[in-house]
Parts: sequence; C-alpha cells; structure tokens
Amino acid sequence: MMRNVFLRMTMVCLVGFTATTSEIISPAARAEQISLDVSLAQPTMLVGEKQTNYLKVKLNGFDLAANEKRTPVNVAIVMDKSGSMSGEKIEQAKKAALAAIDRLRDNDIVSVIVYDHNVTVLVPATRASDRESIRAAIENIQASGNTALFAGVSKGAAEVRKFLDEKHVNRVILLSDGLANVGPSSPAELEQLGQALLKEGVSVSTLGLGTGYNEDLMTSLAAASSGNHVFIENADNLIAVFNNEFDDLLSVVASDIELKIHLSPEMRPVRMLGTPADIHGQQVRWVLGQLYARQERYFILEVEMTSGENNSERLVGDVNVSYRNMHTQTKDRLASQVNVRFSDSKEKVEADTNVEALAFSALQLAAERNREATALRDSGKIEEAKKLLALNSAELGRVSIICKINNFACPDIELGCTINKLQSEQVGDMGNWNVNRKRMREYQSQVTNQQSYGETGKNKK
Amino acid sequence: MNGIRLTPEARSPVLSPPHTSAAMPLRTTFAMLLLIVAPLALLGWIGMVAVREQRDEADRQVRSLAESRLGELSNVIDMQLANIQRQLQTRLAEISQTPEDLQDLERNNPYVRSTLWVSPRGQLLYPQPPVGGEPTKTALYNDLLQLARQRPALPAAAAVQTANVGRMQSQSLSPTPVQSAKPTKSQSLLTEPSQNSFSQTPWQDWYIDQGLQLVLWRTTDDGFAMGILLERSRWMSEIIAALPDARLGSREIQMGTTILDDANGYAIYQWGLEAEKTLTPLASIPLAPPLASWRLKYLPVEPIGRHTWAESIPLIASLASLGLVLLAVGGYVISSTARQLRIARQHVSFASQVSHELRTPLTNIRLYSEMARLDLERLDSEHLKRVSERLNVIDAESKRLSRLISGVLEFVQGKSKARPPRYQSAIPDSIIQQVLIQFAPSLANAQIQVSTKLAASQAVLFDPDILEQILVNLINNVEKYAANGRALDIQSSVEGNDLLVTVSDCGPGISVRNRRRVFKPYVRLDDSITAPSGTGLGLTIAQSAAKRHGGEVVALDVAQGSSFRVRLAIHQDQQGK
Repeated sequence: MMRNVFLRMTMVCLVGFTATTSEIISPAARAEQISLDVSLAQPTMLVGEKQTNYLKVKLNGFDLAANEKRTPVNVAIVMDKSGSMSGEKIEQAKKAALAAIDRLRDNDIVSVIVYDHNVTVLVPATRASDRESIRAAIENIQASGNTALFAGVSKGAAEVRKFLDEKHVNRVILLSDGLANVGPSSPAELEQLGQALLKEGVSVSTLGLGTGYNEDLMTSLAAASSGNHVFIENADNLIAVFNNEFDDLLSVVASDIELKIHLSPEMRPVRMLGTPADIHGQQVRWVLGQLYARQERYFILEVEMTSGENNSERLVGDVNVSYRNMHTQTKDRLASQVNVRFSDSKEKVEADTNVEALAFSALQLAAERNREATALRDSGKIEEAKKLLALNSAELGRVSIICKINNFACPDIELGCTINKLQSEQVGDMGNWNVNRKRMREYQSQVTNQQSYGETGKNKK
Repeated sequence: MNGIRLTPEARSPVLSPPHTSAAMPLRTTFAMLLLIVAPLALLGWIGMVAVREQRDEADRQVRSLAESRLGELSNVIDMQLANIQRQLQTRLAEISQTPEDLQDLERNNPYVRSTLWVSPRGQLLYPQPPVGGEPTKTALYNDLLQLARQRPALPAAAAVQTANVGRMQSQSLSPTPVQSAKPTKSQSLLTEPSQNSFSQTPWQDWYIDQGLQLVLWRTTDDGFAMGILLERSRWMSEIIAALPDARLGSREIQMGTTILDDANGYAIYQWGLEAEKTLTPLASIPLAPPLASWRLKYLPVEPIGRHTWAESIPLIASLASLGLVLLAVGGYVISSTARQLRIARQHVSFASQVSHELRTPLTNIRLYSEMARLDLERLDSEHLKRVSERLNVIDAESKRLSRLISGVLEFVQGKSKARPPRYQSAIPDSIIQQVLIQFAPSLANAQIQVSTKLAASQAVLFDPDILEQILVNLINNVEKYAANGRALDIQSSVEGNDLLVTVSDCGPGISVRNRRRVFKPYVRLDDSITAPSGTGLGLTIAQSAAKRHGGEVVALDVAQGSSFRVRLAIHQDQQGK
C-alpha cells in the first residue's frame, strides 16, 4: 500500500521533471557541448557575519540527435546465478539480458559473466555482432550455488578492460539477489573496487533483486563508480529496469568528467553534499563517470564565507570542468566563475535567494539526514530515526512552499517530503525493515547520484 | 558240508576294516588346506601391501601434480604483482616529489589508494591532514601517519630501498621475480648497502581495514621516501581476474576446488567443484612475498585415499584365480591320496579274504585225508567204499582250491598273462551237468533246489574250462549270497554263434544301481562282518573270462532274485556233424 503511494509519487516526480529539463535545454544551447551553470543559493549575503552558503554547479548533457551514430558501449553483464535466483528470477534475468543484447549494435562490445560460488566468463568480451552464440549462452544459464560477488565483478571488469577505450562507454552491470558470501564481501571493499574502476573509466551499475541482497554493498559499489543502483522488488520489472539501464548506457554524451573548483582565499570549502569530494586547501575536486544525453547533474558545495563590505562584490571561485565529449571524441573544457554580493538589507538578501539552488541544497541535506536516520535505526535508535525523518519531511515541506511562492516547480522536493514522511512512519516497522531499508538506500542513492530511473519509473529523458 | 566247515570265528579280527585309517585323510586334508591357505594369505597380504604402495604413490603423484599446478598459479599471481610493481615504480620514478604530482598519481591511477611522502625522519609530508573532518579520511590519515613511522630509519647510505617491515612474514619458498638473490635482508643491509633501488623487495606488508595492504616504497638519494598504499580491492580484483574461472578451472583440475586464502584462512577467490570445506587440502602452498601470508589450496571433492573397490579388482581376481588353482591342485592330491588309500585297504581286505577262502577247502582236504587215513587202518570192503568217497571229496576240494588259486592268479597277473581260450569240441550241457554234480553236495547242504532247462546238447567248439570257471563263480555266489532263496535255475541255449547260459536265483537280488558295480574287483555289496566270506573277485573273474572268450556276463533286470546271463562266442563243430 505504502509502496504504491511511493511509486505513484515517483511517476509524478518523473513526469514533472521532464517539463523542467526541457525548459533548461534552450534551443540556443550548443548541441554538442555540455553546458555548465554555476550559482549560489544566496547570491547576496548579509554583511557582518561569517555565513554558510551553498555553491551549486550544474552540468547539462546535450541532446543526441536521432539517427545519429551513438557512442559504442563496452558492457559486461554480470549475473548472479546462485541458488536463490532459481525459478522466476533467473528466467526474468535471462529475458532481460536477451532483450539488452538485442539493443546492441554490431560495433558494441559485450561480455556475459555469471557467478555462484564460482565465476564463469560465459561470453568473453566480444563484438555484439555474434548475437546467436551470445543468446545461446545466456539461455543455458542455470541457477545454483553461493554468491561470489566480488570475483564476479572482478571478472566482469577484466572483460571490459580487454577493450578498455575512452571512445567506448565502459560499464559493468551487476545483477544480484543475494549476500556476497564467497570472497571479499564488505561494502568498504566493494566501494574501493568501485573507486578504482572509476579511475579506469569503468562504471558499475548495481541492480538489487528481491529482498536478499546487501543494499549497503550494492549502493556503495554503484556510487563509488558513478553507476546506477536500483532496488527491484519484483522480478517482473527486470526487463524494464534493464531497458532503462541500457537507455542510460546508450545515451552517454560525456565521460571522464572532472570538476575542479578553486575558491578565493576568503572562502573555505566545507564539504560536498551527499558525496565525498577531494578537498585540499582551496581546491575541490570531484569526478563523475559519465553524463547522459539531456541529463541534468548538479553538485552542491557547502562554503563558509567571511563577510565583505556592504554593496561589495567578491569572487567566490573559478569552476573548471574537463570531460571527454563522446560525440566529437575530443577532450573539452568548460570554465565559469561566480561572485557573491554583500548587502545590509535583509529584504534584499531574501529577495535575491536562488530558489533552485536552495531547493537542491535542501534535497541533498535531507538525503544526508536520511542516511543518518538509517544509521540510527541500525543501532536500534528507532525513535531518534523517526524524529530525524519527520524533521526531514518538515524541512522539505517548508522548502516546497518557498518553491511554490517563487513559482519554481521542483517535484523532487515534494516527493522527498512525502517519502521522508512515509519512512518516518515505517521506520519502526520491525517486520518490513529489510525492505524499507533497501528503499531508503535506494532513495539516498538516487538523490545523491541524481539517477535518471527507478524500478518502475520511466526514464526521465 | 556246513557242519564240516570251520566256523568263521577266526576271521573277524582279520576282516574288521581298519577305520583308524580314516583319521589320516582328515589330517591330510588339514595339512593340504594349510598348504593352500598359507600361501594364499601371504599372497593376499603382499598384494594388499603392493596396492597400498601403489595408492600412496598415486596419491603422491596427484599431490605433486596439484602442487606444481598451484605453483603455476602462484607464478601467475606473482606476474600480476610484478606487473603492477613495474608500472608503479615507473610512475614513481617519473614524478617529482611534489604534492601536486603525488596527488595526481593518487587521483588517476586505479592501483593507488593513497600516496605518501615521508621525510628521512619518518615525518609524513604528504598527504596533508584532511579538511572537513570526514571520519573515514581522518582514520586513513592516522593510519598513514603510523605507516610513515613504521618505515624503519635507513642507514647512512640512504639509497637503500626500504625492505620488508611491518608484519611481513619472512618465509619465502621461492624467490619472487622482484626479489634479489641476496640471502637475507639484514645481511645485505649490514654488509653492502646497495645503490640499486631494485635490489631488494620494495614491498611492505601492512595490516589495516580488511587485512593485508600492500605498500610500495621508493627512496630517493636524499633520504626521502615516496610510498604508494595500493588499492587492495583493485589488486585483489586483478589477481582474481588473472586466475581461471570455473570453465577454465574445471578443465584443468576437474575433481576439486582451488581456493586462494588470505592470512586468516578466508577465501578470497575459489573455482572448481564445491568441496567440503572441512577437508584437509590435498596441496597447499604459500604465495611468494609480499603475499607470503596468503595461500593457494587445492581441495579434492573426494578425499584422496578413499579408493574405490574397482581399483582392487585385478588384484582380487588374480588372487581368486590363484586360490582356485591351489584348491584344484589340493583337491586332486587329496582325492588321489584317498583313492590310493582305498585301494591299499581293499588289497589288505582282499588278502585276508583270499587266505580265508583258501583255508576252507584246505581244512576240508586235511579233514578228509585224515579220515581216509583212519579208514585205511581198518580196511574192509565197507571202509574201502568210504575211503573212495573221502578221496573223491579230497579230489573235489583240491580242484576247488586249484580253481580258486588259478582264478586269483589270473586276476592278479592281469589280462596280459591270461591264457587264451583253448577251443575244443564239447557239449556245453554236459559241462554244466559236471559243474552241478560238483556242487551237488554243498547245494543240497544249503537246501537249494536246482532246476535246469538245458538246450545246448550239440557239440560245439569252445573252451570248457572257461565255461566251468564262469559257472563255478556264479553258482558259488548263489550258494553264498542267495541261499535263502532256496532255488537255482540254469538255462542254456545256442543262438547262432553264441552260447547263452543263464544262472538265476531267488535271493535278495541286486539293485539297479549296483548291477554294473558288482563286476568291479573287490566290490562286495555287503562288506559287514556278518556277511558271507568272499574275495569280491568272483564276478570280476567270471566277466574277464567271458570277455577272453569273446563274450560277456550281464546282470539281467528281473523282478525277483538275480539273474546273470553268460554269453560266449562259439564255433560250430564241423567234425561232430
């Protein structure tokens, strides 16, 4: 019941988002360049106080024209075939994989790896032109045994590495329904693997099937490697999820995106919201695996600013973005700056609020608190978790009202408000904690990574 | 005549069969069995030992095979690490000792989790303490501080590469490609501080987080050191990717599972069939440094040493056939011994029977000659007549004795020395009558009625002695064994070239089973003490005599008593016609 509400909300959100993004992509924007937009939540600040401000960096993926030659992909499909997958799950997984194979073009590279306690490289990295033998190999998969997840991903990555090429979109798609119980199996180890893979330009998308998998492990692996994470409760949705994942995969317009922010001396970088970033002195660095066509991706940097004089303007910092343009196959750069103004007029400060940046900052902050709530619930502090989630909901509700007043449509905020409220009510439910925890992790992961799709959600694009 | 004959009181001790001889075959059997069982047991034992040794040898071979296979795999891992080492060392040599370069390496190289820059005094110059107070980063920084301190101070000649410090195990079975051939670290450090930075292992083993971490060091001439804390998951992943997957693995070692274990015995990677974890591995080798605390293990699905019976089938089969041969030989020896023993026993019995047979007529001869001598002393006409009668008896008994002896002799001497038949013209019926006259007194004595139906009154050519011999033996049998039938019937006829004489009685008869056996020498159907005396040769003698004469004696199948038919080949007497 609750889940249904959540799903409906997801749909609403996604439909709403489509409207927003189409507005952002103006016809004037260069079609073959991603666009960079830097703004502050409070462009004007009150004089006299040391204050916290939020710097929002937004990247927009350009649109791929229809009929255009898309970037070839180099994908490893890593499938759990342990005993728990037997029955409907493995059949749906096979269908999903087969449907995915059909979408590939001849110059794409694909490999199929299955694992139980063993790992089998079913289809070593090969051109997708050899469809028949790939299909046959997938159709013969039988489920049995344990779950050697780390080794499965390792072998998958090794297959991708065989044809590792920055002209390809390199990805491992991991489908698992069970706890890793053979080989390294801590979330930290998988996260580190994900980080290392991202450095090589390989992302890992993790699809958690059913309620038996380790959501911490799967979300860390996806987040660390700039991949997607989906919690698939119902195996029937597997094909749709695979489809969405391939939609993403086939629409990558930029990769190896490196974001560097150099802050002015009066500014102190505090943290990147929702995700760990490299902060060294005034330098902030963040890496993103890829940007999809028409995708809007933003980062919020919390900055502490010392006050300037009234009506003065000051440079906050330079923002540099370098990325590989998958359309032109060139290494492109973008640069931007942002200034902050100081004023002693409170009204002026409030009037000058950047609602969009404020809303997204609030969303990311709420996702952080949502993580904290999960941790509280894990340590048995149910009441505190409940309170924190309720606070989240209330805060997002407040921001939602601000958005409405300023005529800024941000369904993500409303959705977040509802979800946090629901989670606050459900966090004490002992019986369904396993499922609810997976939903919380999925929500956190999707907010942080601004993922384009969910289990049943249509693609945002 | 019965009254005159000596009572058989004397023969019982002689005739009583020596049953003590039965104990002998038992002993022999036992000895023979011992002779069979002992070598069989010995053979079996030797066979088992041979099989066990064969198995041990096979196990050893399998084990060394598995070990060499694990060694190959260990080399694969070594090569991966050496590859990583080469790449990273090249990078370390390229970059300058600046935070920017170190940071760049850290950010872009997937193998690098963190770089370090340490002053000669062990001070951590890079990385800087993290901003923002994120707990994981702070924890890592603190660990790196400790790592920098744990790096041992170098001797004055500062170019020596840092060696194994930390908790690295020093055992090394085979020198890795990255290691120098120098015997030990301490020696080389003390004696010859080398200028070559690759002369010693640049690796350091270090334990934080999930376990073993690898640190690669490079020390520059000024005593500063640059280190790389490797991304554990990345090099593990690379090692796993280089090892076989289930398909490749199953082709190589089909019967078990191969496991890469970390220092705590936790499986990092495994492939092959799923074996019982509790089993002791067939082969287990440590990896080369810096992964010396890790092990490669091979576990067979079935524990080695649990062999199937099928392997022993050739041995069991050969043992069984050998046993059968031994049993057959033993059986043959035992049965032939038993046969010889029986023959010997029959001979003893025969000798005593013969002497007994001979004593009866001899006693009669002595008796009648004594009586004749007494009669001679009182000679008158009446006595003269009685002397003549007595002499007749003596004559008859002498003839009987002589027949007996010649019959026995004939048998003992065998067929080769037997006399060929002497054909002469005679009337068979008159020969039969003569024999009956001869037996008349004893038959009358035994109250046996004689009936005859003789139809061979023509003179033909045959050997009367042989006919007489046969008839005497047959009638003798009737007298001895069928006296209670009180009847003797003799029929004769000539059919073609055969003379047929049938001697029948109304005695106990001969069972069908024994009808052929009775013709065998020494066979007496009733060999008990109370049985009438006899040699067991009568029918044998009669039969061999008949055969000598081109004929035979057969026991006929009759309802009551017994009936023997004698057939002799005769020639028609041309002169008589």
